[in-house]
Amino acid sequence: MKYFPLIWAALWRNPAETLLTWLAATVAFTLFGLMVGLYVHTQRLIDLERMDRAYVVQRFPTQPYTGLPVALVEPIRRIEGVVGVGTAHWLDGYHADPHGSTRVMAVDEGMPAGWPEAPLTPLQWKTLLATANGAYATRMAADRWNLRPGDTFQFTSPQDAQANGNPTRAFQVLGVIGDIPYAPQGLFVANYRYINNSEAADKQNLGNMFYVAFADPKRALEICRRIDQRFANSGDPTFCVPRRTDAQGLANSNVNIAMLTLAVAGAGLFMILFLIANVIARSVSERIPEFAVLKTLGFRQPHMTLLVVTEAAAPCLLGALLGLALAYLLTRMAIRLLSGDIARLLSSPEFPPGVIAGAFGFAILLAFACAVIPLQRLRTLSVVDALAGR
Amino acid sequence: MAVLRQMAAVAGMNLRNLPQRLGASLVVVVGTAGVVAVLISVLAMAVGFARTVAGAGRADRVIILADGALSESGSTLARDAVTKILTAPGIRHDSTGDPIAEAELLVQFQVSRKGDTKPISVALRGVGKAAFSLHPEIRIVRGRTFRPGVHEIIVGRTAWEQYSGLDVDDHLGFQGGDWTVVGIFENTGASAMNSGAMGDAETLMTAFRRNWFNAVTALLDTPGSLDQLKGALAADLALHVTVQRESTYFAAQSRSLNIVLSFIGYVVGGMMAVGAVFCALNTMYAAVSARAREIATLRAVGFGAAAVVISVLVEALLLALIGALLGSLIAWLLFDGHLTSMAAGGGGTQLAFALSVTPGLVVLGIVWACFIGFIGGLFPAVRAARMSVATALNSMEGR
Repeated sequence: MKYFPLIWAALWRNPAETLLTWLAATVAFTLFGLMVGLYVHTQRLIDLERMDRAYVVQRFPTQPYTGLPVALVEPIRRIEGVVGVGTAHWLDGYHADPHGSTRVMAVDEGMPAGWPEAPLTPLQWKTLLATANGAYATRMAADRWNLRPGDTFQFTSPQDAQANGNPTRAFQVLGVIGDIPYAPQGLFVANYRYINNSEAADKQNLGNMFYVAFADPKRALEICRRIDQRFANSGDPTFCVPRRTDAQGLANSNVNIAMLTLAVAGAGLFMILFLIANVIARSVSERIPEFAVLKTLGFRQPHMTLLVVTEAAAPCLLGALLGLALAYLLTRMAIRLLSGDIARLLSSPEFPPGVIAGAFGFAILLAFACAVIPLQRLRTLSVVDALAGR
Repeated sequence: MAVLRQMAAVAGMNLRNLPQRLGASLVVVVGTAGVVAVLISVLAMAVGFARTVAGAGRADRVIILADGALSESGSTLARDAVTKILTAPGIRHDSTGDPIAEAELLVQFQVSRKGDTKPISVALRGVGKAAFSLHPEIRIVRGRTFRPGVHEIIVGRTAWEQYSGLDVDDHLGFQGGDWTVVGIFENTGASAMNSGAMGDAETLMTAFRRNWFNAVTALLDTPGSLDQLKGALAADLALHVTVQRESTYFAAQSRSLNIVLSFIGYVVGGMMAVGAVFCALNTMYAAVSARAREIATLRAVGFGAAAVVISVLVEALLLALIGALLGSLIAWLLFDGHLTSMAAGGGGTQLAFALSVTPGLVVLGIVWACFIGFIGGLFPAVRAARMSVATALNSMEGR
């Protein structure tokens, strides 16, 4: 603290320069927060997925996707290591507004065992399976359409019309459940039997995918191989993939999110590295006589290092603080102002302690990096020449 | 003229002593280069994707889907519906009287990228004998085309380059048994096709045990025959189909991903541009401060304020322009023509496309850089022009 007046004086020697440096650092760390936060969010979604849970789908799918016969459920359940199998059948469509798409996930009585971490309590499962046209809405879906338990909602799916040609089905909202990470725009969980009974004969008794639970996550890949081998030479060959493996593949199936986000964050930090390095170098250069006086008074290299690094770190740390706060606010605003894929993308970044610590860590690292050359100059400073102005 | 001469003289003087301010000048150059490189790189993805999907959709080629389907992968057309569509008026016929139209279906098979083992889905399009008349832009570049009734497929050039096991005479095991790759094709028009494969529609329907098609593609008699075809199909109440030009369909397919990619590009580029403006302001204020006595001397001997303003602006714009060219070069060297793929085909299939750093993107980067340079130079320039001559001449360091 005793050197605080010196540092303060150095920072406000040129207020405009200090302010602009701080603003540039703020922008760079806002970008850092958004990009690294997005990366952390993507990794968290992957980590949330478990190796002891898997999806089983058609190995060679058609388009539109038809699915696997539900008759495969029992043979899968009998494979050693499998503790539960549930059928999931997806309907894509809309409620009220054709442009407001949503999804219905129809599940059967095997799903509580195949997907034990689903956001439904045992009582809710029992109610759903006992109510033919019942459905639970996730929080996002309920808020989107202002739905409450007891409401009826009409779901229209042109591609999954009923056997009588009517594309609309009526569901009774049984309650509201927690949001599901991979359905950020909302989802309805409905009764498979109700959907199945309404389908045309050639579309009945099919499931888009089976949710499979294993006893041992370490054996996930081996059990998946055995499931696929079981049906390899059948008319319905399967493709079994552990959910975490699938999540990792999805994250990289588009642009490599990790590479893009970290590259952009790095580009932003590199930009201000040049700025702050230049500012510090110029500041030290213009104050050589001052530093000569300090050396004469007994200030040694560690004191000089402290002064210079703190002067470099101040805008970086302040920029990191404000930048992260701005990044957080921007992501929260995104949901209200934007819609669809863009809102989902921008609302995703997360700011756990690791991201915050990372930002401040990079700020300090930047400060040290920027101070290297000026400190070397101070190390070799000749007091006499400096005071003489040579 | 005197004013112009003054501007040229002062600007020239500033530029000549730029090497003395190399470090500070690099700040503007690097900052601008970073902005332009990131902006162009991300937008190159959007441009490359749009080019691949939109291709050179012909005005006289239409695609017919089931009503309500947003894409081929979500459309189902029964055989009787297809028969009615193929006999509708407005469709061109060849010399033998057959319609230049066909029903197509989409299925998938799995391969992995070269050097990787993770399976990814690739689209396999079932086509009829009219395929090459309907798509004259398709040519076989290696091997031969498939024979109907046999488990043979041809593979698009981009898929062949990106994925393993797709060379001529390679064998693939998927629905229905063993399939042989007999040729590599290239579609110079709708290059999205180059990310997938093609085979005989009827053979694929038998193998995949399905009895419906996804879409009908047809050549119109004339580009103006669209309304005639639409009217004929709408008049049949049992048919629930939509007809649209291929160009319209492809534009819609690429729209939403294009919006997301463009949004990312402009937002990220915009944020970096704001940071670069602060960097430029910092640098130019420092440059003006360091030359306060010089500027004051020029003002004292009769140089006008306009000359000072223009000289500072020219310096800032030049540095920004150098940064823009550097950033464009980096983006071009690293990304132009770089093949990538996204799960943007129907049903989650991979769509491979090349990033495209176009002259338009370079011009956009230069415009952005000029904006950064202009804002970064304007305020310091005005400050320089308004500086009191006496104060500046008396100051030790121009502050």
